Formats: sequence, structure tokens, C-alpha cells
Amino acid sequence: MPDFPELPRAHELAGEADEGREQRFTRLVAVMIVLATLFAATTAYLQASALRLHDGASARATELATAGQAARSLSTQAAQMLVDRYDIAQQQRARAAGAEQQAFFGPAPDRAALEAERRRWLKVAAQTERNTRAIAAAYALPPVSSGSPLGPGGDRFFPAHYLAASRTEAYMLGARRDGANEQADQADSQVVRYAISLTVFAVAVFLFGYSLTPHARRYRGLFAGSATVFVAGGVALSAAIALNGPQLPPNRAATAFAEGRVAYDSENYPLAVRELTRAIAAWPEYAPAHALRARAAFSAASPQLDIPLSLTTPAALASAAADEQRALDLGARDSGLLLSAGYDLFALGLRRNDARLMERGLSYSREAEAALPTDPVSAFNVAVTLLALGRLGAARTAYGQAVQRTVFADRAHRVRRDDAVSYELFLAEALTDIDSVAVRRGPQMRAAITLIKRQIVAPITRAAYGESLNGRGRQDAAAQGVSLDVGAAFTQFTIARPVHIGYYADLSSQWYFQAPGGLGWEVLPDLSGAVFGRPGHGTNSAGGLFDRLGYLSATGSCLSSGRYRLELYDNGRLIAQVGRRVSFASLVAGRLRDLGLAFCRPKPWRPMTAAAPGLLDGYLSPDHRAGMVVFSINRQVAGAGGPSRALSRRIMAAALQRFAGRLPARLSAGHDTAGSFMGLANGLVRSYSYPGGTALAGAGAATGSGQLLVAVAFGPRAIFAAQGKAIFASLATEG
Amino acid sequence: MTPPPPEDPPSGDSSAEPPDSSAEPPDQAAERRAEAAERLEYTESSPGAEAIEAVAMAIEAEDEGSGRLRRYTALGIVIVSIFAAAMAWRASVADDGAGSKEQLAEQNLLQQQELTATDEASVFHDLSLFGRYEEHVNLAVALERDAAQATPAATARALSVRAQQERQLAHSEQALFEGPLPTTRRDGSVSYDAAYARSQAQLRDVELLDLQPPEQLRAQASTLHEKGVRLTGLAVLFVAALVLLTFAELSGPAVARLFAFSGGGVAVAAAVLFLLI
Repeated sequence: MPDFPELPRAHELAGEADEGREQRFTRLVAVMIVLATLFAATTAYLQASALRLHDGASARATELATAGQAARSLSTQAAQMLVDRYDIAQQQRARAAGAEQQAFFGPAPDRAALEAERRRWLKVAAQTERNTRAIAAAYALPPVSSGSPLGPGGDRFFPAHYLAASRTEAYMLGARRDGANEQADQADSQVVRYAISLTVFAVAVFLFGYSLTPHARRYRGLFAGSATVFVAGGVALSAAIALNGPQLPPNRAATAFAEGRVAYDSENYPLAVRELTRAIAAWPEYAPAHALRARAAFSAASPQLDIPLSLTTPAALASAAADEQRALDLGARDSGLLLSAGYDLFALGLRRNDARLMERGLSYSREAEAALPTDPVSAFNVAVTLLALGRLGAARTAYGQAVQRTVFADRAHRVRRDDAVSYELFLAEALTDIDSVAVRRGPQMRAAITLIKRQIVAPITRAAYGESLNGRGRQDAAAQGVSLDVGAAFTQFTIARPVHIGYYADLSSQWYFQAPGGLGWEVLPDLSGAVFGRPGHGTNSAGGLFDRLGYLSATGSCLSSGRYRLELYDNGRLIAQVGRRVSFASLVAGRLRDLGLAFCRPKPWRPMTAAAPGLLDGYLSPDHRAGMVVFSINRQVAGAGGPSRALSRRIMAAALQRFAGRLPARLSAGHDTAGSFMGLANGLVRSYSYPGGTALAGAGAATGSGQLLVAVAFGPRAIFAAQGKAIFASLATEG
Repeated sequence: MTPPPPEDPPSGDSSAEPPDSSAEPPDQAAERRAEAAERLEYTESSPGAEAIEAVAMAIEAEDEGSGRLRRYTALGIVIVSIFAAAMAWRASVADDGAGSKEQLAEQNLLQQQELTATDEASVFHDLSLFGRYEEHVNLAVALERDAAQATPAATARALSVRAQQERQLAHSEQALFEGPLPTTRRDGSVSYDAAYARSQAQLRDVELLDLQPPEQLRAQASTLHEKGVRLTGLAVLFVAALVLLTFAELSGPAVARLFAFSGGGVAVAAAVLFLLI
């Protein structure tokens, strides 16, 4: 019997249980490979789309940056042109006022011609203003208006606020540029994340393929299972990335930010906080909005009379510090932000007695100090934080470096700043902060603080006098019988018995004002600093010394009632300290720009509409029952000789007669008072009355310009008694 | 004795194929066919000969079908590779074009800003002139009006002379305007249409007009970018098809068809999408 041929093995022809499982596994893996490949393809497409979005957003950012720059340049030029046109109209009105002045004071035959001349110039000015309105519309800007908050009447730094307001579009484009950059960054990180997802899919496909090879037969389940997990993970990751795609911040965020920025530049801090809050609500990740809101919130709540602002309420301080921290967390790292964050954390830590906050502030201040190598403020912030932390040795070293930065303008400390205003600005800020530490830390630091004050006041005062920083041996000075006086527009101190204080003394006065609410004492830099003077100047008949400073003249602002303190230093040594509470009417500055004068007035008063630039200007109460009107008359036109009280009397009488229409009716003949008119030697002040009211009139010849000035303050008796004299006495030359 | 009936032959489905057979090299398959033929010859007269012959034929048919699929798959791989490369090349060309347009758009934008700034500066120059010009003209008009009513004659003459002086000064200013001249109103006063002057300054700027607008270039770049992205997507699809076809070529008959049809389907979808876009 022949051998039966060898038949194929059973498992080769028919499926057994194992065989069936194997085939199912193979099919399943094949399906998974197909799926994984398709997922990978989709992810690759999404990545390409993200890359495209990144490129588009970057290009848009560049476009917006260029457009923003162009808009800023155009709007600034347009605003300056409109300011120039405002000035042209004012000059034309001044020409009209000049003709009016000549008509009033000149010979009678010329009066008709001069009146015609005045009318002509007024008409020309009106036509200029009419054309200005049309031109302003072409640039989508408002024309300059005297009484508006952006105009010379409302802005003590005119035209700063007007120029700032013109930059709204540029700021908005800048914010939109930041938005486009943000979108580009997000798209970029999306590309990177998709790459991770693609890698996951690649690994999965490899594992699936490997699980089918004979070598991996034993653990194929493990390989295939892992690959399945990878695919699931990759799909989830891709889906998450796709769903959290880059978002372009809404345009309303940019608009609100621009409005907030303009409000901040215009010193309208509450409005700035509101607008920036709107911007942050629309775009919570916008670091510049957080940083700016921090400054606006700090400034809005600060009771300080003038810059630099160092004191604010605890709530505002906490809010500012939180906003700054958020801006830093969002990646902002500019030196201005570091400076503010460092200071605010120091102030907050000092208030809460929290050393950890101060340490954090110190690290930011040190970063700012490194980023701004010639800036004294960051160095003073480091020093005061060390002082508050009780590290006295380090604080003294840091103060030494801060003084070097104050005195010298360069990094090598060779070139002096030679700017007395800046010296005092930095010194005032440093002394304000030291005083805050002194108040919080109590008597245990008194000795250290006295030493540190001497360490910084002495060299900065010498630098202000242009002397060597090391000083010279002098007899110790003393000041006995020191008194101070403060009004809305001025401060004055008197040393009744000065000892070794003369023209060559390194005398420095530091005026402090106690901020309301127990927030601390601020040094007023515009009133403080090295006491300059000429030999013999500032000496009274009793042998005492006095120094009177016009706060309104220096700052364009008025002082408030409250507690004032004076520290007098000689050669850096504190020789006298006096303080007192002063009380006077609450007034704000009223500026008579075309006359170069200013005075302190009640807030509701508005610029008079019938002003004649260069001739007369003033402010009136809303019901026109009270006000102050100032006339400036050329001495030549008035045909006057040299300045004298007689001339003042004559010009006052002429002005009251000629301009009677602009003053209360039926002013009765008054009587001379002992008051001083703007401190002018030839000045005269007379008191008048009229039905229902009282008036004070002053006249005198201004030194330098030769102009004859006449001022009349008037109002109902009750109001006048409360404020009239203070208003009248505050009249001063501006700047 | 009747030989035991052979196992059912594979039902044409690859599931009956021994798992490793697909991996068999062609020469081994030929060997197996020869071996089966020998067995047939040997058992020609044996009772199981027919069954064995059927088995052998089934194996042969299976091998033929598998070989055809592999040939098509190989051809598919070549074609899809060419398409994938072509898509990648087209995508690269589109992206390159988009990049060039983008760059040109940026350059043109900067140039446009500069030219516009120059045009605006010329308008500001005219506005500055207009400040003086309008004063001279408006004053001249006022003087002429007063002169017409003035008495005595000497005063009228004096006013007329001043008006004439102002007119002369205005005339000398007028020659310096770079753009549109101020217009005169019915009452003799003058005005200046700054909006018109701004638009005219740009319309008369030949260099600015010759410049291809950056917005247009950006739109073109954007279109090319979109095209690049779509072509990249298609290239990715072709690569995916390539991967699947390669798996079909390498895997056993059990899954080869699945891979091959998936790969073919993806490739056809990509081709259709290419035609559509």
C-alpha cells in the first residue's frame, strides 16, 4: 500500500481557536493603523493651519505697529497745528485788546479809529476760529477751547492733555498690535503642541506595526494596547489643542485701553481705572492694562498734592500690587513695572508689617536698579526697603549708591546732573519714604534714620549749591524761633534768631504736608530744597531770616488746609523742626495764561467769556455774582512814568472807570488797606463795596515786564468774607 | 476504504489562509505547488486524489489573487508617491510665493507710510502758510469794507493802502502753497479744505500711485498661504495613503486588502479634493 501523502497540517487549512484570535487581532491592528494614520494626517493639516495663522497674525502685528506709528505722528502734528492755530486766534484777539487798551487810555481823537481796529481784529480772529473748526474736523480732532478740560483753562501743563487726547487712535492701534502678537504667540505654541501630538501618533503607528512582527508576538497585546492608548491620547491632545485655539482679543479691549491711557495721561485717574477695568474684562491676559491700571488706581487714591506720588490708601496699594503681580505673571518685565511693583510691595509690606512682601519688593527693586543703571529712584527704593527690613548696614550702603546716582548723571559717576529741581525731586521722594518707615517703625529706628537723613541731605544739598560733596569745616549753625506760614498759594518760614546762617550756609528746607487719612507725610519738592538767595535777601528788619515761596507759581496748583511741617538742615544736620495746622478755603488754581498770571479760586468758578487776551482775563462764579478780574495795561500806553504808589492808584482808578462794564455796578469809593499786592513794592490794595457785595482791588507795576497790573476780586459779603481775601492774595505770576 | 474527506477548502476568503503563507517568498510557493503536483501524480489513482487536487487548485487560485493585489499595491505606491511629492512641491511653491508677497507687502507698507507722511507734511506746510495767508486776506477784506465807509477821504485812503499791503502780503504767501489753493467765500474771507487737500496730496503722488497697495499684496499672500496649507493637507493625505499601501504590501493577506483599500480610498479622496480645490 503506497504511503498516504502528507496532507497540509490541520491549522494550515482550517481555523482553530488560536488562529481565529490571531486573525482578529491582525485585523484590529490594521484598522487601528489606518485610524492612527488618518488622525496623524488630520493633525498635520491642523498644524499647517496653525502655522498659517501664526504667519498671518505676525504680519498683522507688523502692519498695526506701522499704522500706529504713522497715526501717532499724524495726530501729534495735527494737534500741534491746531494748538498753533489757537495761538494765532489768541494773538489776533490780543491785537484787538491792544487797540481797546489804546482806545481807553489814548488821546480822544484816535478812539474811533482804534475801536474800528479792535472790531477788525476781532472779526479776523472769529474767521480764524471758524476755519480752525473746519480744519480740525478734517483730522477728526476737536479744536482747542480755552474753557475745556483739555484747553489752557483746564490743563496746567497745556497742551500736554490735548496732545495726549489726540493719540487715542495710536494707542488703540498699539493695543491691537499687542493683540495680534498675542495671537501669533498662541498660534506658535499651538504648532509646537501639534508636533507633540504628531509624535504620539508616530509612536503609536510604530508600536502597532511592531506588534505584528514575529519578534513581538509574545507581547503583542502589550504593544498594541500601548499604541491604542497613544492614539487615544493623541486624539484627545489634538482635539484639546484645536478647541483651545488662538483667540484674537476683541477690539473693544483695545478701545477701552486707549481711552484709559489717554485718561491716565490727562491725570483723570478715576476714569482711567474705569476704562482699564473694561479693557481687562474684555482681555484679562493683557499685561500693559494691568500695569497701567495699577498706576492709575494708586494715583486716583493718592491724596498727595503733587508728584512724585508715594502715598495712597491701603486698598489702592493692595489693588495696585495685585495688578502689578498679575502683569508680571503674564510675562511683562519692563523696568517701569518692576520699579512700581518693587515700591508697592515695600509700601504694602511696611503697612502690614509683612517682611515677606518687602523681600519680594526688594527683589523687584533690585531688578529695576540693574535695568536702570543711572536712575536714583530704584536705588532709593532698594535702600528704603532694606531700612524697613532692619538691615541698617546694607541700607546705608544702598543710600550711598542712591546719592551717587542722584548727583551724577552717568554710570561712572563723573558727570554731575547740575539740576537743582531734579536733586530735590529725588530727595523729596526719598525723605517721604524714610518718614513712612519712621512712622511705622517707631523710636527704635530714630537714631538710624537721623544718620541716614544726614547721609543723603548733606551731599545732595551741596550738589545743589554746586559745591564739593565732601563739605567744608564750618561753624555749626543754629536756628532759634523758627515759625512758618502757609497760604493757598505760598509757604513762608522765618528764623527769628539765626546763628551762623548766612548767604554761604548749606541750608536746606524740607516742607512736609500730612496726607489726609493718616497715610503719612509727603515732602513737597517744589517748595523744598537748597535755600538760594542773594546776599542780604530775605532778611527782615528785626534781623531775622525769611524765605517765601510761591507754590502756585511753581506748580500751577494750590495748597490744601492741613498739617504742615518744616525741617531745616544745615550741612545735612537737622537744626530745626516746626509744624502747625493751617486752615483756609479749599481752592483750585485758575490760570490767566495770556497774562502770565494765576490765582487760587473756588472750583465752580469758570473762565470769563469776555476776556481780551493780553488785556483782561478772569474767572466768575456760575451766577456771575462773584469773581476776580485782572487787567494788564502797558505803561507806555497809559502814559505813565516810573513805578510808584501814586501811579498804582491812578491806574487803578482808570481801570475801574474804563472797564466798569465788566465789574459790579456802582462800586463805591474805597479805602486803602495794609495788604500787599503780589508782593510789589509799589503795590496798592483798596477795599470797595457795592450794593450786596464787597470788592478788593489791587494795582502795581510788575517788575521786569513793566506792565501795570490791576486785579479786582468781588462777591457777596458772606462769600467774600470767607474766601475773598485768600483768593485776592493768591494772585501770582505763573511759572 | 474511502479516504477521509478533505477539510473544506478556503472559501476564497483570506481567513482560511495559513497565517504565515503571505510572508512566503515566491520561490517557496512554487516549491509547494510542485510538491502538491507530485503528490497528485503519486496518488493519481488514489481515492483522495480529487480532493487533494481541489486543495492544490485552491492554493494556486489564492496565490494568484494575492499576487495580483500585490502588483496593484506596488503600482499604487509608485503613483501615490509621485502625487505626494507633487503636492509637497506645489505646496512649497505656494508658500514661497506667499512669503515673497508678504515681504513685498511689508516693504510697500513702509514705503507707503513714508510717502503718506511726506504728503501729510506738505499739507501741514500749506496749513501753516494758510494761517498767515488768511490773516492777511481777512484783514484786507475788513480794511476795504471800512475804507468804503470811512470819512474823511484821508482815512479811507489810509485804510485802502493798508488793505492793499495786506493783499500783497497774501499774494506773496499764495505762491508758496504746494497743494490746492485756499478758496474765497462770498463775503471775501478765505477758507481751506484740509480734507480735500489731504486727499489731493495722495492722489497727485505718482510714486504712491505706482506702489502696489500692501493690502492687495497681503490678500494675494493670504490666498497663496491658504493654497499652500490645502496642498500640504493633500500631501499629508497622500503620505497617509502611502503608509497604508506600504502596510498592505508588507502584511499578510488577512489584512492586506483592508490596508490596500483604505490606502486606495484615501488616495482617491485626496485626488478628488485636489480637483475640487
